[in-house]
Amino acid sequence: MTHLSLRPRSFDWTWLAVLPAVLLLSVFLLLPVGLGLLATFTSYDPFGTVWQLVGLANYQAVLANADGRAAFSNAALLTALAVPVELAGGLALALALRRPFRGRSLVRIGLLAPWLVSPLAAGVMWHFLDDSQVGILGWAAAWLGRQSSSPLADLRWALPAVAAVEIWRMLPLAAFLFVPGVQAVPQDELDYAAVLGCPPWTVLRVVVLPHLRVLLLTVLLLLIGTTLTALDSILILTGGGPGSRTITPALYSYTLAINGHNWPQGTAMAWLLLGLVLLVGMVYTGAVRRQWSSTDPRGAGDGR
Amino acid sequence: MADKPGPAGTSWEPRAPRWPRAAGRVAVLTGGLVVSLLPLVWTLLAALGLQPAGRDWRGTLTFDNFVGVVVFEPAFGVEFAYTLVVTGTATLLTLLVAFPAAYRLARVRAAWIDWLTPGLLVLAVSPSIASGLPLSSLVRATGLYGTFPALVLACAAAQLPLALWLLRSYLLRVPVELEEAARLDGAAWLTALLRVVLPVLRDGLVATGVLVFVLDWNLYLLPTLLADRAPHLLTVVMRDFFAFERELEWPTAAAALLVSLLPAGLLVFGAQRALEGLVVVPEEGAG
Repeated sequence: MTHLSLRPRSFDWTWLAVLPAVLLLSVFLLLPVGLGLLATFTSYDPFGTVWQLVGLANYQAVLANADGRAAFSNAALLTALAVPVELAGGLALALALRRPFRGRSLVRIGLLAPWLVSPLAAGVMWHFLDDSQVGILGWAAAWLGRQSSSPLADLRWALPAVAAVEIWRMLPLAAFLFVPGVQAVPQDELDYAAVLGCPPWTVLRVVVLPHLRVLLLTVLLLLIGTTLTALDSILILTGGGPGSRTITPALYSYTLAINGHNWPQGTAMAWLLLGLVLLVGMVYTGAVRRQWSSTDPRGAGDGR
Repeated sequence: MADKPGPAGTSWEPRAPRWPRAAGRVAVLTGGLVVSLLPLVWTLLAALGLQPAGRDWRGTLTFDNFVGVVVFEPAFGVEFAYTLVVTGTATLLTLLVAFPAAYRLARVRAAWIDWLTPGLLVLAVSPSIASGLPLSSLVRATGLYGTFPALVLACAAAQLPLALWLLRSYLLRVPVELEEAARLDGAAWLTALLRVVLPVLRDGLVATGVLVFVLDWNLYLLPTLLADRAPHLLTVVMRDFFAFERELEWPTAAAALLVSLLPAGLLVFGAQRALEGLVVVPEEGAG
């Protein structure tokens, strides 16, 4: 259905509506990011006076550094640990919330609670909750008659402990986002599958998941992006330690630029991370584009 | 035995889906709620003065720790108020800028919008340090470091991609016929936007506003990079509580944590109805 236009076709001044957004994004997002990229090829430092072109030296230095490489492998590990649990757990919770019951909306809002806590505050909270004296773990261990120490200081358990905090924050949010999608699965398809006697796993795979494809991909992007760029909570939980077991790219960039006064390398690290996220984003965009197409009639993008 | 399907017109009740079984559902929900809320309850108990000691609990219920927060950080009240003002202004600015833009973009029928829309979400999850570091040096160079406008504009810009994406998603569900009817009645574009579309979108605006507020309230990196001087924002204050040598006792930290959770919590609770309708993805097409 074409859009009726009562205006002369010469200039569509309604595009001015987009101008403030474009300005704000350009000045405060795109311009700094672009300038940052240029700066990574120099030795520019906001507190220095002289700077020169250095080519790829900053990137080389960052990747040659053991901490820099550890940051990326930690990010990958963290994502591999946390995201599947968040996705599966979120879906399970959403499915459990599908049928209405008394107090369901309260439960659904209650699931937002962990996400409401800022990542930084979550770091403070879990630093103490993991503590052997005052924390949940310590209390549970005392009940089991065992000794315990904070996993955050343990070489083996620090990263899983950090992953656990991420899961705590994001799994309920994923569930919250899945609920409308899960509710939109047509009941008659589920009934039909039940009549056929399909086992639950098959019903999930054949009936439910296809309806959730774009939602799944979108939530997946959100989860992967949040985990890859984690900084605030890890800053408080472990500061990147012990050693470099929990350092992440964003944290490393932050440490380089702020504490290490190595601005060029910090910015280079930030851009490497941005590149990684953009890569993931490109895969996402390719996968969902047609589904949301505004021109393809099968898309949901109003291309009727 | 299940009833066999009868010919059209005869009664046939579909057997209720056997999955997930009620007990399993209750277990999953209880588990989810416990895992989500237990840490917060633990924090609340600590803030109220109860701490575990071995297997037992000790301490008495008291509000001393909340007082202790202000004793530890005398400027806490000012910082709380300042954070409220900064976050509120940034949220309003984001909504004000995003709504007309999302409206215009929602009516676009071109191939490039199919790249822009997911691209907005990708921007929304991008690391803010990539823009934050250069922005910080720009802000220093122009003498705007620590100023209210710079902070508010930067925070507003940071949430703009998400706001645009969410609002466009809501606007796609508003039938075009609604505005076209208004247009046929002679309404100008702006009038149609304000008088016809805005009321329909009220829930969407509230939901987007609440989410943007929470994200802005919880920002740490941007305030640290752009305005790490008095008055600090609450997240920066919490880091200061913790990072430097003035390391905090758990009860006081717990109290500060819960107080800083209040605005976000109250907003979400108050906007329940609007948030329930939060649909992150438009309904799938026939495909």
